Amino acid sequence: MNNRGIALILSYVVIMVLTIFATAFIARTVSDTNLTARYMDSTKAFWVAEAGLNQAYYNYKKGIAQPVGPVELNPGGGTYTIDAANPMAVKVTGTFGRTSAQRILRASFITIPAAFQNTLSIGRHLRFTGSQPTALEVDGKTRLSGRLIRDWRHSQRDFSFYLDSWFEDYKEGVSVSDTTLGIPDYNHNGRENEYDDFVQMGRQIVDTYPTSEVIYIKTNGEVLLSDISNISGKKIIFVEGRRENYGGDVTISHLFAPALKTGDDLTVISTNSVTYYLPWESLFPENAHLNIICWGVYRQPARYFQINPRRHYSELAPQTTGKNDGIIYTHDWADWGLASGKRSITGNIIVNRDLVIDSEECRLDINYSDRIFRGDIPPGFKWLFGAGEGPKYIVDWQEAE
Amino acid sequence: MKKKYILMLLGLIITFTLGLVFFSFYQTPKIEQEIAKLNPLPKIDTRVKADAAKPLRKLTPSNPEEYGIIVIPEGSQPQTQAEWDSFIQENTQRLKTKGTLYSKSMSEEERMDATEALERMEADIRQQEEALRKDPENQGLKEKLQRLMMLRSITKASLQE
Repeated sequence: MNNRGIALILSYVVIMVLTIFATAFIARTVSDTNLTARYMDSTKAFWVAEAGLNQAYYNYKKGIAQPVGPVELNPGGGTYTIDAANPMAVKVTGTFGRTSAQRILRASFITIPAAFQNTLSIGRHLRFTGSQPTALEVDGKTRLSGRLIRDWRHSQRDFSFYLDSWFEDYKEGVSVSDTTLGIPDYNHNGRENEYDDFVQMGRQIVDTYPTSEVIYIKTNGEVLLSDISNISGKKIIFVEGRRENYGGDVTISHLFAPALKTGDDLTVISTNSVTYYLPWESLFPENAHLNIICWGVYRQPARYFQINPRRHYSELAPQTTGKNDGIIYTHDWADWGLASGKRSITGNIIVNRDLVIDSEECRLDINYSDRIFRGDIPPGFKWLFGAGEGPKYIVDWQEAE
Repeated sequence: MKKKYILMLLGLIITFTLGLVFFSFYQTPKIEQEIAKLNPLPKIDTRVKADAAKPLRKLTPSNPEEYGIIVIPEGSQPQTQAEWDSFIQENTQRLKTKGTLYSKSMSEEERMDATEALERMEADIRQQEEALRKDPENQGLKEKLQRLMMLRSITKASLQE
């Protein structure tokens, strides 16, 4: 007996160990290579999808029909498919490489209607009523499809002497397509501007946001938003009535403002009327926005909570300009009550019918807000954009999970 | 002697292979981290968006009381100032108990302004009532009066805090 065969056994053992390690190493390398390839293909698929989205947006802007079926990207490789049947929910799928990695991008293509270019946009007449004239100062564009009517209650007196309203850029008799906003055919019955379209729009807006950002109230009564709480961070309050002119009215009292926090951007939507008692400006948080969309009348009786000159609130006005940079849209007419004081607001006001200003010797300054044209679209408003002429934008692009 | 060299060579090969395997296991996550760092993908808004083609989720109405919202049911709207006062008072108290009513103490100036506003409202209510007596069928006047009475009650309740 000797140990001469040990080298052979040892060699077998070593070769076995080496084979195990080599197999593990090769498996790992192959797996890493595949992983890297998938990662690379996935990244390239993302950029292919983005190229497709850019192409889709270009086509939308230029009015070119979107391609049907996969489009090969050359040079670069990969294919993208555009689904732009609904411009509000465009979907582009990018595919790349031998792993056929796919990435999906979503975006909304919007056409901002001309009405948003105006500070005051009125589908019919701008009527001044009341017992005393109003000094209205409008920065930016004022566009009326009707005309300006001065209908002071004491008509025996000539108030033209007192009237020192000032419009930076005023035009009347403008086409309604430049002053009003219609409601797109959201119930798909072939007719736009119906109450049901508005309701459907409201529901879709609610569906757009996570439930934590929405308050949805369905009622046949009236809703009072006064000293409300827990709404900071909310995007939408949608109040839906039972049917047209039946329930869903909203009253926003002057005590509502402190419930908002700096930076909040809230849109109140009502299927009926909205009455908004403007708060004292000192109550409105910095850089907070309250926007309104309503199917019915919009009332803004600012009579009781205007700046009180005797308390020197007017000194606050320059600091507070730019607050409540809200956008207001009514499908119906608007009724503003103003009295003995000074008020300064910033926003876009779009009234599809008459804007009636019932005043008693007051001064109202309206400043233009260009937030929509800066791409800062208030919650829910993009649903009003629909089709038509106007500057075209791409918003809310994101990757689908 | 020859056997010694073979064993040494085998030992070296094993050490090298092991080193390579361990290096690969140790290095791969680091490489992935580096790739992720260099990844130029922009920050994406992950908010869920509506797709018109997709059916709506089941929309569940919120409970207004959770937010201190008062709902005035159709048909039970108060008609007189006393009714409005009691309606607002009752609801305010109930929501306060639930802790969903926002309460902010008014400054002295705000309190004075609110008092003045209240006086103006009362004068306007008297004026509206007078106008309504002359024109009792005027629906616009009726609505205006109702809103004024509601606002007066809200303002009055806020002053009582």
